[in-house]
Order: sequence, then structure tokens, then C-alpha cells
Amino acid sequence: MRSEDHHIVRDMALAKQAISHGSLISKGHTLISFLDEVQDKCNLDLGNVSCVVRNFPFFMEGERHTQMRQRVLKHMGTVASLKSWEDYFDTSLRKALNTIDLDQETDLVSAFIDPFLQEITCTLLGLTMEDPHKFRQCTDLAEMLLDPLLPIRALKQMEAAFTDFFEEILSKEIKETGSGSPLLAELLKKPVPGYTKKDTCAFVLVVYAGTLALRYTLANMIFHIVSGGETIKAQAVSKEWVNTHLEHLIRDTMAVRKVSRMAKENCRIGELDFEKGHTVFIDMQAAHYGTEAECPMHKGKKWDDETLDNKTHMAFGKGSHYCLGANFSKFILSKVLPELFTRYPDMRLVNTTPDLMEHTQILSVRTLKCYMRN
Amino acid sequence: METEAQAITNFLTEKISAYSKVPVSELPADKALEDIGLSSLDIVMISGEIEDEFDIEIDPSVIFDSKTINEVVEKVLKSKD
Repeated sequence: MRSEDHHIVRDMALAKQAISHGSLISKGHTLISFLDEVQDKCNLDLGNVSCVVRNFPFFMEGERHTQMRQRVLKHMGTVASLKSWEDYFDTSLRKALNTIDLDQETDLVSAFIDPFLQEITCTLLGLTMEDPHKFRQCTDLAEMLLDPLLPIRALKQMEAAFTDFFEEILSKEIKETGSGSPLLAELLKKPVPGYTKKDTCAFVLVVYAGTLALRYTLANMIFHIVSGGETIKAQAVSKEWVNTHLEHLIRDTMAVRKVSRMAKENCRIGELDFEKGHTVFIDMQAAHYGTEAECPMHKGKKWDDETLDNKTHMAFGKGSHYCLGANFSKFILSKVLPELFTRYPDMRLVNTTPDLMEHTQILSVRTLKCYMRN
Repeated sequence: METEAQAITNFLTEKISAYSKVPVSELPADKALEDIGLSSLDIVMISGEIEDEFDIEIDPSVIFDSKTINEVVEKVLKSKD
């Protein structure tokens, strides 16, 4: 549907311009006023949802955003800053793979990817809740804030979940680790100007929710490689091959379906006119794979050199909102793939049709059932 | 007697009329939703009212991605199954 206040961009060249165009901004400001209107009309208290939105990196602009961004990038955004964590990541990876070592058949998402990534990202960020189920619900809901059309039902669930999260996280001390200081501990120790403790916790919660994209991409990538045939699986044991082709693999398995921006003023991008206040949905799947393409996870896999050389993608965004966890994600992906395929060279899919999540913003396999050995 | 589909159509038409200020008489069930000019907030509010009225879960994107009122009604009926 193209309504009065929406446009959909499906062309790569236009998408590239739109995603970092100065006149198109994130919808954070409109989301705050949207929440205010919903609060008034439905007589709801959404104070904690608003707090999370105010501190959602993707929605933030200006000096407050820049200062926090610099602190996070310095702490965990570069390969150099992640080096002190490398032994911990390697050990955790081996332990996580050990847990599935005896399985003849397993769902790699629930048995390996989820627990492994949750452990390392929670430790790196300094986030824990007594009840892991509550924590997962909280982060899943935070991730939903990217959905341009939030159901009121979800907003009520968010308010309840975020209230519990803030109560618990603000009442306990963040433990230091042998590998370094977790992000939340660091930011609470030396606060970034303009951030209360609650703001800081909200920010780190959203950073965690952002790392769920790594979970989706990793699952898609393993599906993609396993379904690519024996030759590709055999190549993926090599760290060098994975590092050389990582950007192409990310391009072909990225989980983002749509990115939304809002016109802060009347503007023209390419052949399209945008009026102030209009929402622009960038259809990432169409921009990367074409409008005629079906779900890329269903496409026949091409692995020739020409395809592998295609590294053009916007999986991590562009410009001032370029993903804070991009280097962390690549660091982890480049470790997991060779280790996994070295241990399980005969791994194959139980079902060659992907079991996809039903999600308007995310394209990812929900489960990844594999026979681990012949 | 009013069928379930008619009940949903009537409810949806009334709500769209209330939010868009377009009279019910100008909202046939096969009218293109894109011509009505609902805002994002309108769509969210209407989907919330459908959830409350029919005790189902329906995301705003269902309305956003539908071409006509009829199409929304079909999807609501499917959610109830």
C-alpha cells in the first residue's frame, strides 16, 4: 500500500542515497510524538518505552548521539578493542560446540547459535537478568521498536517488560570480567554527558537487541553455506576463504527487510519528491536482490567467482548510523564458520526448505535442523 | 442475520471512516485503501481496535499491506481460524 504519508524505495542507487540523505532522518522524533498520542488516546503510561526510544542509537541525532557513539566504538567497536576478548570468545565458542558434539541431529539455532551469542554479548555488554526468558522477551520487544507500525498490544508488553528490566538492572552491580570491563560497567563508571543511569541502561539494552541481527545473519549464513554443496562447505573450513568472502556472505544472508526514514523537510532524491513528515520505507531485500526476486533464502545458490566478488551491501547501514556492532559481528562470524565446518564437515540440512520466521522486518531462519554427521 | 465477514466489514468501515473523516457511504469494501489516506497512527489505532473487538492479534502491517477493506477482512477472518 502506498498511502498519503508513505513511500517505498526499492532501487539500490536510490536506497543508498536515501539511507544517508541529510533530509531523511530516523523516525525517533515522530516515534516519541506517536507514543505521546497513543498514551493520550488510549490512556496508557508508556514512560519506559519512551526512555528506550530516546536512547535507541538508530533514532538518535546530534552531539548526544556522537559522544555515545565514540565511547562505544572505542570500547568495543574496533577489532583492536575486541582483541582482549578474543580468548574468551574462542573458549566460549569451543564450549558451545562441545554441547552439540554428541548430537546426531540438532537445531543449530536453539542448541548452538542462540546460547553462544547470548552468552558472549551479555558478557561483553554487562547485561543480565535473573530470568533469561524475561530478558529474551525484553530484547525481542526492544528490537520491535524498529517496526514502523507498532501494535498497541506490543507497546503495552514493552512497557511491562522494560519496567522489570530497569528495576532489576539498576539495582545490581555489573561484574568485571577477566577479559575486560563490560560496556555497561564502563559507561556507568564514566557516564557520557546527558545520559542518566536509566538512559545508559536503555542504550545498552538496545545495543544488545541490535546484536540479534548477528544471530539472524549467522543462522542464514550457515543455511546458505550448507545448502551450497560440498565444495562450498569444504571451502568454509578455511579462515582465509571466509575472510575473503565475508562481505559477499553478509550481502547474501543479511536479515534486514526494511529500513524506515522520515523526511524532515521537502526534498527530492533521484526522481522522487518527498514531503516533510512523509515516511520512506527502504525495501532492503528488493534493493539488494531486485523486485522480482523471491525470498533470497529460496533462490538457487550461485557460488561462481563473479557472484562471490559482489560485496556491495548496506547490511550495516550507512553514514552516522552505521552499525556499532559491525566489526564485532564480522569478528565473530569469521571465527564461527571455520570452527563449525572444520568440526562438522559432513553437516547437512534435515530440510532443504528454510523454516523462516514470520516477521515484517526480519528475514531469517527460525530453526536450522541439521544432521551433524554422516 | 449478519455474517461474521459482514460484521468485520461494518466495524472496519466505521473505524476507517472515523479516523479518515471519509463518510461510510464513500467507503465500499472494494475501495482502494491507498486512496483513503490513512496515516500510520490511524492504521495502528484501527488495528488495536480490531484486536479488542474481535479478540485476535493483528499487526498494523496487515492493513498497511492490504489493497482493500475486503482484503483486510479476509486476513482478519484467517486470524480467527
